[in-house]
Amino acid sequence: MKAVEYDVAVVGGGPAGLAAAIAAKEGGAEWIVIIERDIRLGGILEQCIHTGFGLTYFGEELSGPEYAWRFIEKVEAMGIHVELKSMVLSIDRDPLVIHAVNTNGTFAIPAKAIVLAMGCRERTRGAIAIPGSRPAGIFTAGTAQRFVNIQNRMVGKRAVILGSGDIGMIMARRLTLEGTEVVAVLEIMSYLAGLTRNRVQCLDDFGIPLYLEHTITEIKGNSRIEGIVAAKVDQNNQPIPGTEFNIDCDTLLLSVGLIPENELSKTVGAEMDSITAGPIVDHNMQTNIPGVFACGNVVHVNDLADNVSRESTLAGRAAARFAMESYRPQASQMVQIKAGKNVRYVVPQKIDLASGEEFVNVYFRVSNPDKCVQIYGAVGEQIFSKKNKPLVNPGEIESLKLSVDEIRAANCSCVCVNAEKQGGVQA
Amino acid sequence: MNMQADVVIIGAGVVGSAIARELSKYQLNVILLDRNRDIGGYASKCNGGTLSAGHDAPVGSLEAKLTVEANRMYPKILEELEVEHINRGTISVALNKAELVQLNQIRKNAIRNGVLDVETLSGDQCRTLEPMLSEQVCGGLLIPGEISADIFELVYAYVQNAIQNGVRFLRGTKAVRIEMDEKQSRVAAVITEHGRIETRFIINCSAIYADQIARTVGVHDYRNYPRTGQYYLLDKNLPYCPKYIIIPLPTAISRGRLITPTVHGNILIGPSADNGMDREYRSTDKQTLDSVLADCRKMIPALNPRDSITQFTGVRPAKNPKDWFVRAIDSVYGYVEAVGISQGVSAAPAVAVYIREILDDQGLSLRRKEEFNPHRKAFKRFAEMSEDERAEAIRKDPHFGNVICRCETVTEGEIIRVIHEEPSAMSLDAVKRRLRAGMGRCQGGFCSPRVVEILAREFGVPAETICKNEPGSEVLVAIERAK
Repeated sequence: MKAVEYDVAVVGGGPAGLAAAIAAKEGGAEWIVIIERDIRLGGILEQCIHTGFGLTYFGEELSGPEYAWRFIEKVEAMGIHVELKSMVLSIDRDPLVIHAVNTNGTFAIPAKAIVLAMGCRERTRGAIAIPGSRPAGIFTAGTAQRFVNIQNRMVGKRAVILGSGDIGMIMARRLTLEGTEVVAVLEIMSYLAGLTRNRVQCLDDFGIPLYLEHTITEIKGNSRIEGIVAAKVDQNNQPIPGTEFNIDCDTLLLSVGLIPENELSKTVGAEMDSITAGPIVDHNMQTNIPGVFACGNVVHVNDLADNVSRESTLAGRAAARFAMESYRPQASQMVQIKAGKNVRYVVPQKIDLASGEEFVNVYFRVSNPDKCVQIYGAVGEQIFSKKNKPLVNPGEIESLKLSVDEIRAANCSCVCVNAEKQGGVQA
Repeated sequence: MNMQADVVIIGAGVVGSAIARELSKYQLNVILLDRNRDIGGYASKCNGGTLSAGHDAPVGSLEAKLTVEANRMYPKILEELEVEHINRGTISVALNKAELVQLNQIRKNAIRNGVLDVETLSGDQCRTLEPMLSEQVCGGLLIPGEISADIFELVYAYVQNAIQNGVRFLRGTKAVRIEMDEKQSRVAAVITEHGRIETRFIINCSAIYADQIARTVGVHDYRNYPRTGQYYLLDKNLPYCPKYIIIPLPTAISRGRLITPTVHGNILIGPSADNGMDREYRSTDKQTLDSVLADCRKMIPALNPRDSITQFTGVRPAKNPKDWFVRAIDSVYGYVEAVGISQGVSAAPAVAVYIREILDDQGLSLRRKEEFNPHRKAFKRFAEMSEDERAEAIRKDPHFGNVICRCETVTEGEIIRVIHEEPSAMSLDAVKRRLRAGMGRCQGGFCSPRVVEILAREFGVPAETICKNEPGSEVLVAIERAK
């Protein structure tokens, strides 16, 4: 039995998948399906019961589930198909077919276009090699968040948090409200990994101490964690001998980074960017595989769900255009976007000059914090789309609006995005 | 709890488990007990994952004899017990001229140990077989007999097959001492924390704690101590993953720091070898891990710690004096021990036969069970099923359609099965060792909250009682509500 072909199939029903599916429908695609592994749509937003979502996208402050609901309502009203409790295991190319399972069995979904929106996973203790014993009581911050907010469980009584990522800071507040004593947040860098507003609202307001330039050198306890050894680090992030101190705790939360979840993208053969750990995409969020688009944290880890929604709208719209055969990218018209001075990565990594937009937004993160910065695109000596920024921070995503006409006029194959100290001198 | 048995085996590590299976072939009442709630002891669940060919054991030693013989027994056993394995073979590599001389000696020792299938390679021949090997490699020795296996599955299969054939397994039952009969001439019972087991024969396989049990019957001629080994576990599908197990030249106390492509396609690098005092010590430290990495990079320079999934410490049951003791004690009739077994996984089936013969010498009547079934059925992992097999599994039980561990594609159906199948999985780690749920790159970040709930539901207990491994390692704490 041959399954019916969808115009656009979206893998993942979190903020990226929801926005992409809606945009695909609005863009004219008729048959759209979202495949989601959880029991409901919304993805990680469902466990983000704190507010702070929607400030830029809706102009109001919403909780995670409220933010998700705005999109879920639309998905339902638009008649977009949803397959819940279904796990995608692989994707074939030529032709594009998604293979998934759920409790009804295995199923194959052929689609004209596919949007990859699987989100990301958390970096673990093993990935950063924290020495010591291997007791219970060590959680990634998101895992602890699920236990507390979805499963109504308590993870511990006295917690230390390693890493000042947003989920870590939000969990510091959340655990405090649930009765856990949060004794310290440690950050190896000299600056915050997450948003400044989270430091103010989640740590400062609750008197939770933040130790910058500190890390954990040992985990103690055989059955359940009994404590950690913290130490100050030098400029190379190495612990400084003699600065060690013990902190007793029965819980350790790790908020040490997120990694785009691209095992599926690899099964379909998407070309990856070694810095973002996500697929290389053009400004329509199309991967190197025709008809396969990617958006949200699968492409690069975003700071705000609002940005994910915006980026995913592009992917959904382009996927619809692709499905209706009104758009095919042309390799000859592709211009590379590269990370320049103090820029760690850029997304998209390519611009398709033939696709008809006047302007293209490029999103990026800086490598190091800096003040009074000039952000600009450059082709050799030629500089364009210049703007000034009083402060940049690796924890927050920056953007630059590039004019497609200007790039075309420069007749180049590559544009560099830079975030340089004003006056051209790097501090 | 008072029980009675013909033979009590103390310790369900790989040696005790293999002995349990061997004795289950006979008409005997056998009890296997372990202090932990899960099998595998300490050493058998934290090791390099290889079944050694025995070529590099001390020439003429009991270790050499048993390991070489076990290597010949394993193909049949792995087939009977349906344990995942790959016949990989090893390449021992030399990095300079002095090591080439040592390599020659290893070849000669291999031949003396009865391992004849060895081949000397030039540096270039090594790199032809393993292109990622360093330019420094100037010679090698190919030993095709070494096997990568899922060691946890091996222990599990030994115990499962033993249970199928009538052995009773007592978990969470710590042996405290051995009781002698009134005349102090032979053993009478094992006293455990939960009661007395009357028995005629006791086999001490308690590895790192063997000397403590032995002391209760007046055996004082050895001491056990821990030799810790730290490992890095790297991800799957890495471009520099070798096909063979890559071995450096041995050190005075160990085989050195190996690069092992595991049966599941990960890379294991290590172990270090450090003698210690604390038998419960299982920590890693940065200095040692850095040195493990540095040493292994001399063989494959591309090894990258950024691909690390986890690091862990295993504890080998070292012994002073270091020889293996697989023996009876004249003055303590009925007491038998297999201790100081530093290559337990590799030697276990031969040790089991050796122990059986000692029991025979001691007068235990060994009558073959006609109904003995040597076969243990392994369930095919969902991850390895074809599309049709998956559809069929889900049709029979829809729980197989619910993927719980996304990194290793482990389903709820499989988790429920290992919870209810003896020896049942009672903790997160027990589920992980049987199914690999939580062993992948996200290290249980996604599946552990789900597995906790499944364990609690299937056992009908509060989620707060579910442990990472042994009691005391509860994952959650109880919610205290204001009254």
